[in-house]
Amino acid sequence: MLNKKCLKKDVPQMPQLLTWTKSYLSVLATVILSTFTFSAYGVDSSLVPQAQSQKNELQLEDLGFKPEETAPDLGLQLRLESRTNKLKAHQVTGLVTLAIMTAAVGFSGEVKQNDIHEVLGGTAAATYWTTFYLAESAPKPPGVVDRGLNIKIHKAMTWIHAPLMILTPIVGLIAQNQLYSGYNHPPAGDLKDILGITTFVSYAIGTTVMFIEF
Amino acid sequence: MTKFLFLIILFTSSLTFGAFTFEGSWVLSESTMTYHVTHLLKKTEGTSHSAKGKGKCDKSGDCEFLVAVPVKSFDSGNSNRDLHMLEVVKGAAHPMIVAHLKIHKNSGEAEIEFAGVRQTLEIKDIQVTDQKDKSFHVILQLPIVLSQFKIERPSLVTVAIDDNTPVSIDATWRRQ
Repeated sequence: MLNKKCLKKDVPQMPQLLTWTKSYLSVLATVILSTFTFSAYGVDSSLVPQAQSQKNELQLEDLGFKPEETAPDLGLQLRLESRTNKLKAHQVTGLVTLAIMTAAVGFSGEVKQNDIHEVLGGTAAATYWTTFYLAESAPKPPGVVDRGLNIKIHKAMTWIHAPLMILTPIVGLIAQNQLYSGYNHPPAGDLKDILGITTFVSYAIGTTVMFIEF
Repeated sequence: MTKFLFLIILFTSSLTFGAFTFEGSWVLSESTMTYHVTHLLKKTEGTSHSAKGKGKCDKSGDCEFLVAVPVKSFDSGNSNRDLHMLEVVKGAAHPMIVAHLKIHKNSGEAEIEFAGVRQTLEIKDIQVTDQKDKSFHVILQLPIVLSQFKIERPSLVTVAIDDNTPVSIDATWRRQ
């Protein structure tokens, strides 16, 4: 009997259960709502000022450049690097050619005594055409027009020394054959001298002009 | 009385028109940017007039500007040199030189984005001239050091150019 009374007293009645459930639900709702509110506040507080500062700060896009002006072109960069590498090699072989040509001109008086002039001439021709190939194969971006007096003279001289670098060795071989045939003063020799000197002078001008600023 | 009023109006109007304030928004209207290269054998320059810029100044005279210029717009008068410059400064991969300038009176600092590298430089001796109501003219020099921007110095006859390649800026700003 006593136990029954106790049980009656401890076990909650229906209205009391409803009250507890209501309070539990209201607490739960408060917790959930506050969590949402604070988390939402957290997101806002971190993003809004940043967005505002980004909006206030000037960007490259605000200056009005065309998209193609600001877009990187990696293909062009590679072509430019290839061009630089070839032109650097062109510069080296060009100077080597000038040195060999100078030596060949220096030994031109000893044609009858030894073969040094011939060997130097042949070597100069080989380095010359290597130099020529390097310049011609260096990729040039489309639309680039030659500007600068030194580059114009450099290229104009090519029209003189390039054909002569074909003609001079041929005339030289003819003069050599005439010398071996018994001519003391080969008829082609004088022409060879004129062609050789013209080649040397035009090439020397074309090379040194690249080191002068007009 | 009329004369007195006239004098007051004249005095106040002269004060109003005479006072120049930088406060407000500015836009770059004209500019000349020139890089100066020094080599043992010669000195060369390349110039660009293609820069664009905008900026703002507050009441205290503190100004912030954003200036950008395409690398390929620099013209040294020699197409070979310009193409080489474009390659050396990685101008195709990073086509713009961008400068964020913070200026206070005659000095300031510039955050430069060049050749894919960002550096902050100190600027001294900024000359501001021809201050008119709607425009002002500014001359300054950016002390560009190529190695700071990881730029391999080009060489001529195995001699490299000087590491210091200052860029002088001559610009006219007008109110936006």
